[in-house]
This record gives sequence, structure tokens and C-alpha cells, in this order.
Amino acid sequence: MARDRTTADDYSRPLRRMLVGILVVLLLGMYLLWRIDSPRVERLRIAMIDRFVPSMDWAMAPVTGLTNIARDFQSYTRIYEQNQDLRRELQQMKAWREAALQLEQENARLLDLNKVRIDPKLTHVTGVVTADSGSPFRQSVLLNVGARDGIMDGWATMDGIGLVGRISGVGQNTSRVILLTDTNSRIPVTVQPSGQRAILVGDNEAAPTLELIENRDLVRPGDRVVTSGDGKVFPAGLLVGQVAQSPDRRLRARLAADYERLKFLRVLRSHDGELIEDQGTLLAGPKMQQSDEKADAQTGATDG
Amino acid sequence: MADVLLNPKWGYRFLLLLLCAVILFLNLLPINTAPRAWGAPDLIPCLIFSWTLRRPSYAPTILVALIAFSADMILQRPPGLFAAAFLIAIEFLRSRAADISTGTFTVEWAYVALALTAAVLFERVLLNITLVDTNPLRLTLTQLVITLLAYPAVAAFCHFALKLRFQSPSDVRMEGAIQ
Repeated sequence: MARDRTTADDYSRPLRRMLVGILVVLLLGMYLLWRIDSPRVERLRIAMIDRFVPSMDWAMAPVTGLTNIARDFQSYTRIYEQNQDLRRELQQMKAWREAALQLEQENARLLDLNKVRIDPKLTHVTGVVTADSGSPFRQSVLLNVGARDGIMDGWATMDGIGLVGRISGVGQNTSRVILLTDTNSRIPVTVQPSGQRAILVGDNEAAPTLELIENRDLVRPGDRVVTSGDGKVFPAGLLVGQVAQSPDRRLRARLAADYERLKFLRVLRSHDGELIEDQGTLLAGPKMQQSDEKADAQTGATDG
Repeated sequence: MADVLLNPKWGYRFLLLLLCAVILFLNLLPINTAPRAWGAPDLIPCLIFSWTLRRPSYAPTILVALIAFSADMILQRPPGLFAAAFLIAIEFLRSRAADISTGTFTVEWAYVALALTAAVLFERVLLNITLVDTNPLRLTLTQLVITLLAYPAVAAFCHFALKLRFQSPSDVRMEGAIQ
């Protein structure tokens, strides 16, 4: 029977056991190394992906294109419903357009009054999404721009309308964007118009939760959520989405960016803001303090 | 030299590598970037399990370790952890190969379910011990169940499309003669 076979394996089996043992120890060692020195191993990972994924680009583009065509084709079957929906939406849009026009005029007048200029430092690099994380547990996408294009870790990423995520991991030609829906994503936000601060926490759901809100009563569903710029994670004032309440009464943010189809993403070039180290330098700049000391010394000398 | 070329072993090893690369590639396609409430089946363990059980010599341990580690790296998992659990699971299945090849498919399925569940549990426990954030339990469980449901399809694919069958003693003798 099958037992007969083992006579031939008698010599090779202990050897294979040993090989498996060594491999398991090596792999667990790799895991421990990752646990201890995560950035180094993550750099190795992004270098590996940088080598591996762009070489599949020629195959990815057509396959993605075909699936999108198929999906578009499916939508033809629902064309009547869609038409009705669009008509209704158009009706609403007309009303909104009127409101927007009035607001635009008002805004222009106010900006003119205040002589405000939009921050010219926020320029962007546009990248194309080439791959997603490939796992249901991780929400991230891979862009085809990388260190070659001057991308740096931590920069904010938007689609045309709203915030999408932040850069985490930059290879030579690729960079990874951790989406706001990922469980590792934590973004400081402000809820307008009440100005309440909160942290936007991704939890693998389509709408991330709003946590650590100062005063929950002031936040209503429908309020705008924008980045606060706290902790210098992101530039302030980027649109994130709208507040919504889930059935379990938790506050969530319905994202403004279209997560169903992320295709072109803008990576915003962030610049380091002014760094305030302690309160003294905030009240009186270091130069003033020095000159004060000098003045003291001089007065001391003259007094003496 | 001619033996190596005639031997289907190398062809099947290469095919395994190719199939795993294709599965990874399909996983990576940016078709749906919105989060889903369920996990797609993890086909690589399914494929390697049914491959090893049918022809252990077509899935050498080093190749399996390489594939599992690359999958960990590319799919953003903690590198090496699931690969190690997976190797141990495969070794367990190999030690039970005699029972499985003589039993019915249900026996094979039960063993695979046991091995995969143990591997997932091992990964989770180690992640908890080393204080790494674990994936949501609901998502892990749905993915495990869907993966196990997909196993018969993968096994059927190996059996009928790729002609990977359990070895009978006469096959072993033939193979021994070729080598």
C-alpha cells in the first residue's frame, strides 16, 4: 500500500523536515525583523513592488479596460432608470447652480474685500492608478509616479473633488496611497460650520468614522468635513466629505471622492510650515530675545 | 539531460509558479477600490494545497516558500508570518498524504479545512502576541469560509484540466524508474 513508498523516502524525509524547519525559522525571522524595524522592511517591500508591478502594466491596462467596458455595457440595461434619475438630478442641480452662482458672486466680493489669495504653494503632480492592494483587508492603491517625480512620504492625495488618502511608501517609479478607508488611516479633520475638531478613522467600511469629537451635539449629518491641518499631517482646508449618521448612531464621513473609480489622482506638494518649538519663541522671535539679552548685557555694563 | 526534459516535473513546477503569478495579477487589478464587506477567496493556498496533495514532488518546499513570501509582500500582509504558517500546514498535510489519497474527497476537504483554519488562527495569535493590529474578525472569517468553499472547484481544476491525479503505487514505481 501507500506505506511501501516510505522506504524510499526514509533518507529524504528527515532532510526535508530540516529544510522546512529552516525555512519556517527564516520566515518568522523576517516577520520579527519587520516587527522590530518596520521602515527598513517596508522599503524592501516597496522596492519589490516597484520592480514587479510596473512590468505587468502592459497586461493590466487592457484587462482593467475590458472589465470597465463590460461594466459600462451592463449599465445600458438600466438605461431607462438612469435617465429618470438623471432628469431628477438635473432638476436639483439647476437649483444648486442658482445658489452656487449667488455664492460665487458673494465670495468674489468678500475675497476682494479681504484681498485673499489662494495659497500658491499647493501645486500638484498627477498620477494614474495602476494597481490596488489586492487584498480585502488593505485599502490602498499604487500610483505610477514615484521618487523620480519628487513624490515624498506623507503628501496628501486627492481626486478632482475630495481627499483620497496619503502617500505611504515611495519607490523609484511607483508610490502607494493609503486610502482614508484603510484601518491604518487616521486624519485630523474639522467639521464645518461648527468648527469641531475630530479624527477621521478608517475601518474598512465605505464611510470612515469620526472619532474624538469635542462636542457631538454641535455636529449634524450633512455638515462639511475638511482637513484641519493639525499636527501638520495635511494642508488645512481640503474637502473630505459630509457627515452622515450610521444606524448604530456613530458619526461617519461620506467621502466626497469617488472611491468606486479611482483613476487619476493628484498628489499635493506639501511644504513644511513654520515650526514653533516652544511658547517663548512664539511670543517673541529668537532674534528679539537675543537682542534683548544683548541689551540687558549692555545696560548691565553701563550700569556697572 | 534528456531525462530532465522528458520529466513532466519541471513543467508542472513552472506551471504552478505561473498560475500563482496570474492569481496575484488578477488580485492586483484596480477594478474595485471601494471597500467590500466580504473577502474574495484566497486562491493561492487552495491551489498549492491541492497540488501538493496530488503530486508532492511537483510542489517543492522552496518554491512554495518563495510563492507564499512573495504573496505576503505584494498583498501588504506582515511579511513571512502567513508564509511560515502555510509551510507548517503543508507539512502537516504531507504527513497525512497516505490517509488522504486513499480516502474520499470529503476527507481531503476536511483535512484542508483543518490545516487552513489552523494556519489563519496561528497567524492571528502571533499577530496578537506581537501587538500588531489584526484584520477585522468578520472579514477574516468570511474570507476563510469562501476560500474553503472554493477549494472543490480548485481541486476539480487540478484534477480534470491539469490531469493532476493522486499517485497509485504503480505510478511511483514508474517515476522511480524514470529518475
